[in-house]
Amino acid sequence: MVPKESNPSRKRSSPGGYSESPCKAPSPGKWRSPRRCNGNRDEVRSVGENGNLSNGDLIGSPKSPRKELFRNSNQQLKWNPRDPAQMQTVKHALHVATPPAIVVCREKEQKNILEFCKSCFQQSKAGSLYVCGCPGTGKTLSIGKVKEYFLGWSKEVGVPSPDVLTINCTSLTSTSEIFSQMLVKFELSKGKATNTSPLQHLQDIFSQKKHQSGRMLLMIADEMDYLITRDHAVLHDLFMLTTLPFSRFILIGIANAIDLADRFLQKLEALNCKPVVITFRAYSKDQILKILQQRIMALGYDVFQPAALEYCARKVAATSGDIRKALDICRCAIEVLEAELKGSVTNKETEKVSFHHIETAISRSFKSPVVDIIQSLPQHQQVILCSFVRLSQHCKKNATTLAELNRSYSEICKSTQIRPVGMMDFASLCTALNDQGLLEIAQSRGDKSKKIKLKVDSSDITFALKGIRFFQNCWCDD
Amino acid sequence: MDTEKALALLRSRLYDPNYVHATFKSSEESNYCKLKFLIMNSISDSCNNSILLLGPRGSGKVAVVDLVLEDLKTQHPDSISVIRLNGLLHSDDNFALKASSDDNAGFMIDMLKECGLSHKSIIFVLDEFDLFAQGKQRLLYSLLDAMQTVSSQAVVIGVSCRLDADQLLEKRVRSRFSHRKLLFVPPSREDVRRLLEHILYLPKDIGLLSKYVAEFNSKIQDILNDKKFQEILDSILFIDGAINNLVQFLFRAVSSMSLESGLLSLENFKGSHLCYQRQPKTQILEGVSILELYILVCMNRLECKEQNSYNFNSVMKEYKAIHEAYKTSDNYRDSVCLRAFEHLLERELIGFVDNKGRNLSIEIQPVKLLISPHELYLGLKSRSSCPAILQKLFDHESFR
Repeated sequence: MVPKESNPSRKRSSPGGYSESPCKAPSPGKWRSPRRCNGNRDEVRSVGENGNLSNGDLIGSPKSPRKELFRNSNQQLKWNPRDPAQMQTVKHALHVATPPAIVVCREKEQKNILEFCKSCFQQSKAGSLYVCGCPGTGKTLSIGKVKEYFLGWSKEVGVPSPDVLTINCTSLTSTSEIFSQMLVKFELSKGKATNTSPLQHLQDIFSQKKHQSGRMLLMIADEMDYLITRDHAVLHDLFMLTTLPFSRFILIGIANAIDLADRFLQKLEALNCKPVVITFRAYSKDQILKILQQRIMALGYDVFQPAALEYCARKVAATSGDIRKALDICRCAIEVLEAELKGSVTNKETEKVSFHHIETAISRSFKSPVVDIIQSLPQHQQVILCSFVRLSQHCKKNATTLAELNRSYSEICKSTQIRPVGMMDFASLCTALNDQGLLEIAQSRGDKSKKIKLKVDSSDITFALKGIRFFQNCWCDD
Repeated sequence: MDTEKALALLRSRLYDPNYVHATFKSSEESNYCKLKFLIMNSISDSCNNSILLLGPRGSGKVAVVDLVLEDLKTQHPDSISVIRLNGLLHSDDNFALKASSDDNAGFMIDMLKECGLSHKSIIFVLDEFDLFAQGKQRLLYSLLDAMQTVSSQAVVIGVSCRLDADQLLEKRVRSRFSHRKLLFVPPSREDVRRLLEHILYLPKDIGLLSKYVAEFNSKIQDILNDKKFQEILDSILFIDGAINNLVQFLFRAVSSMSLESGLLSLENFKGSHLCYQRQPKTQILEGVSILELYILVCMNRLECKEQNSYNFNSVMKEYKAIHEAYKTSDNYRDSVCLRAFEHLLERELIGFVDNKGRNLSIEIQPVKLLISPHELYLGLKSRSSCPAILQKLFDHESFR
């Protein structure tokens, strides 16, 4: 089992890592290994693919002299999929929960956010920033890094470092609790009269000079759309806090909706202090490929065939651009390889993850199981779906009632010469289909007049059933 | 007595879902093996994973989860803890007080951290997963978000009968939930055969007479190979292929085993099958009087003539018209017919169209039939004392 080391130790292991401009993309030569090196992990080396290293970046390993020897001989380690330790390492490297040391492909966005924070800091004024983007585009991760850089920078420059509050809005019991949390964290509750609400107290503090302690306050609100209430009051008030004359409060909000600022914060636009919007676009194919390669390079051996990785990146970029999905597919492909090797007895030592494995993993994740499920339904339930399709083709409407469906069902049963089930059984079959999400039965009082809608595409049903001889007569009539 | 012991053994097997689903433990492609492989890998690699089990009701999803968890507990007794949540009880909107739901979510996150520190894995089993996806999906989001950190080791197993359960998730929750799905499909013919053999064959080593055991098992084999048994099995599986359904059918058959012979016979299975085919309304028709049958047939004729609403008076008109046309002997007065009509209302073979006209008299309230023409037809056929005229009237409407 991989020993757990908390984050600070990783930072400690690369002391010089954050003094250079943090948003410059590292060249492969300066690659720092993010691996939590352990004494007995000789095999894991941070060799770049082209084999050149800069000095001093094999850190944390007590056996460095030996490693120097290996490094000079420029031997690349062989990937042995049957070695459980290597397997475990690879899976760890590709897990979504394992954060990389440097966040690639988001340098521009990180730079923008950092510049914004620095300028607010230097001018001692408040500001608000809104970060938006689809899930899995690296927002929370990037902002976490920016926070670290910002704290580091403030130490260097010698100013008192700001108070930082990171809050995920899903953990709030009520939306206005955010203000009381702010008060607690920023230790502003001294001098608070007992009957003012937290929001009012904050507004008082920020409008009067005498309450200032001289420190900047930085707040990062994740999943900000949970703060949206019907009258948009909480969100408004939160952003308005940055417009008060003496507020030294930087607010960074993160959410998925691109137009959140436009829709909910019109008053701010009137006051000419709309938040700066930074969009994290969905990852492109090259970006996904780069991120995957970064993670695998750290391992020191080639696990994937290049064509396989590229196919994965292409497919994910075309659908959602969500890096979590790409990592998941890669892990799944490794599991497919593992399962394959378990059964076989070949002596092939270095079996990489090929295009075929990635394809299996992708089909498992992207293919909808509808067709399989329809093909595996009991016969009468298939006939019911078939009769619905027929009915909708004849009558050109999507909804029907139980009685009409029963009639269509009996016709098909007659033509295929099977005995139709009685009305009670028919109703329970429809309920079973409703439970599975294939039909939707609306709640209504009369038993026979309930509206039924088909939730599956009728072309899926036709496709699923066309291979079955039993149903071939049904389609001939249409 | 040996036969009693055998009967008790069979019944206890059928009642134990672990035994029933253990049939497929040994095959590599079964869901049991796949789930076990996944969970064991997650525990040994100490990484987080999530999986959805989908399948119709009664297909054994929770049973397979229980089997896997039992096995894992015996293999790794100290490194697993299991938390079970049910969508009917624990989803967001079902909480009376908001505070308790957040306490639960907070409790779960704390448990995750604790167990992560002590290198234990938690396995969350979320039953009725689609109900968690209602509302704001806070519980799911907090759970899945907590799993994105390295300090937790958890496996989330979602169980649902809705096949599109993952489409119900919000996109940020879906992004954090891995796409793995295990489908529970109804067993194939070979699998059904294996299941039957696994359940019904008596073992040789439990203290029963070996001669009896051999006789019992050979009788079972004859039954399983019998074509009629295949037909019965087919007609049950064509309606509901879930294993649960099959087990109920077997239980009825086994319970009706005769204790004198001590052997199962095809009649037991046939009797169990008949229970599945009960048509209550047709059975009621067997006890209905001839006049009442007349009234039902008249109403059916009116419905076939597409008269949308009719009442007792119109039925009477039809009744008289029939008698004039065919000169039957069953001509009764209105008051007698009204009594018959009321009987039919009580038995709910006919009913009022709506409740609005409660204060009107019975004769003018609109009524409708509550049985289908097919059921009426079966009822007429099964009555030996039914006058031929009724059959003829019925067939005449070309009910086909």
